[in-house]
Amino acid sequence: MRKDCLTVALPKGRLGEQVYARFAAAGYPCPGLTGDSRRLIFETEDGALRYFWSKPSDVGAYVERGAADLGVAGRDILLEYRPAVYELQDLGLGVCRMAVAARRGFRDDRRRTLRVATKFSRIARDYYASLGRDIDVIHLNGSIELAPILDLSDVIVDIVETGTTLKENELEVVETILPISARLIANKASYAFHKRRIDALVAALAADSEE
Amino acid sequence: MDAYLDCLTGAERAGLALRTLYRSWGFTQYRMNKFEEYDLYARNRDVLAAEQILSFTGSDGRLMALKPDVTLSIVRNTRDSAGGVRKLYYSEKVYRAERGGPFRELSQVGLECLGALDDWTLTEVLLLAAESLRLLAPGAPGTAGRATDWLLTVSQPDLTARLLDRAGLNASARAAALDCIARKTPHELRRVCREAGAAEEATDALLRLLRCTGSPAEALPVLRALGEFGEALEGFARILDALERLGLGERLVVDFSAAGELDYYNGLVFRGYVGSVPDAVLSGGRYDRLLERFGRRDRAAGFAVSLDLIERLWESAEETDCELLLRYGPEADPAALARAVHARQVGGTRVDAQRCAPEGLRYGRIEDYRESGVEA
Repeated sequence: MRKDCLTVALPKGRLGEQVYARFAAAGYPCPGLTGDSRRLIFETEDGALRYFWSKPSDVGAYVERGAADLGVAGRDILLEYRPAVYELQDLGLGVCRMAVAARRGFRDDRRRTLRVATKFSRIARDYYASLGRDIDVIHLNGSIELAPILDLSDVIVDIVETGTTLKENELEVVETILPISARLIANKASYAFHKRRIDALVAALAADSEE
Repeated sequence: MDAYLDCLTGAERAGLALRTLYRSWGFTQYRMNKFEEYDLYARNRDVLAAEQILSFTGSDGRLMALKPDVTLSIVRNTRDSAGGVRKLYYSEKVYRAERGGPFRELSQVGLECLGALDDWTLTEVLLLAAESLRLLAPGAPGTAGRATDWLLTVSQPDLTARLLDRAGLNASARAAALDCIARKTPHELRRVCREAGAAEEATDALLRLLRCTGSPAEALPVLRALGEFGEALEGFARILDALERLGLGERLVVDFSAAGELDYYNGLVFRGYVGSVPDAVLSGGRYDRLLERFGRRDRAAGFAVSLDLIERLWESAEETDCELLLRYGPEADPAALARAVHARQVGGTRVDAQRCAPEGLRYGRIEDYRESGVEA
């Protein structure tokens, strides 16, 4: 491994594949990354970068703790986990929104505490605190849409892309909390030591997105 | 002496090296109580790094706190100096819970200069910050690992404050803009300024400040082009020039992401990084406003080093728990065993006499005297 090799944490899944395509087009290809290899870490041919796939919610931890110099994480992950990292660039990928959704026709009764099911407890708390609304957060790890259908919650706070899943389950968006997209993040110490190379990578990614 | 040093943890040895450095520059040690009245921290919570404070009721009924911060105690418990500069160093434990985590005991070594600060004092503080990093960085005597880099990022928060004033942001937009600068997030800064109705030119100046990262030679022309800052910029430039003439130019990076704490710092903020540690190990700056809160006329600057962050650099993994095991039999004479241990401890060798090795302990070598008498 080259001494000045930068390590990049990519989020597993469809977003990660889009992000890698952007890196490859920007001049940092690593063909092995998209194959069936059982390897965990992949290095570019020139040894300038090495990539690894990570659970999306773990990218911030890898970067904050310096195990990765750079990473790509959704704004939802950054707001929920608040890693102490630099957020250098909005990659404009994985565009969606964080929204409040409920059963069709739902009406908020402010005399009651609102039951909110979500994977994003912190974002939900911050949002409703900004409205002065008393809520009961029910933290779930998946299938959030089930919660209002089974009357576990009044509403859900979740990521909405097309809204198809909501529609199929007779749910609808009540409010958009914030827009989401993938962000390039950097470890603070890594940025201090490798500023020029990281800035060059940021510029190359930006140039590619403008083409 | 080396045998004594071997008894210390990595953080303790690093702390000792730093304290020796500060003493050699005429700084005197400031010792303080572990406890302070809770009220001190409650009234100054906005300038504390700690989100939560460990409090308890004292024997006289007063609400007390295990101190989460050293500088506040020093500011409260010292008096204005008459003309000179009081130069203090400390080595203390602080107690904090951050980001929703549990309370932790953290080791800090640092220094404070309080009094009539001038260019020399500020240069001295930064020079000692640089010397501290040089001592702490991997490859320095006592540290583990290969030699790697260290560097000091410096900024002038008054410039950030003036550009925010120029943008005319309200309090919440100002806080959001500062957060964007601290996170180096240009896309969010642009959005915050647009939503707050800031003029295009003022937004552009803030974006250029956010992106202004580089050596003093690269950064100062960019800063001068941002507007007329007078002594705020020229004073900053003089200090950087002095440090460059001391051969530290390559170690200095102007970077405004550290200038976010405008309620606390003025004039100068800096952070120190050493290779392979993922966060700043040293942070400091000038904090005249904190003294003004306490009705003080003195000016002040200083920094703290987080020893917990560099512990791994200074901790070389020991391959054995003890270098020599003397195994003895049931008939062994205790006095002969004591003489045998003494004889083998020469040169700091660690010797353990046992009938058998306790489970899990690793010994470098074993001398077995179960069948014969122990030899001195």
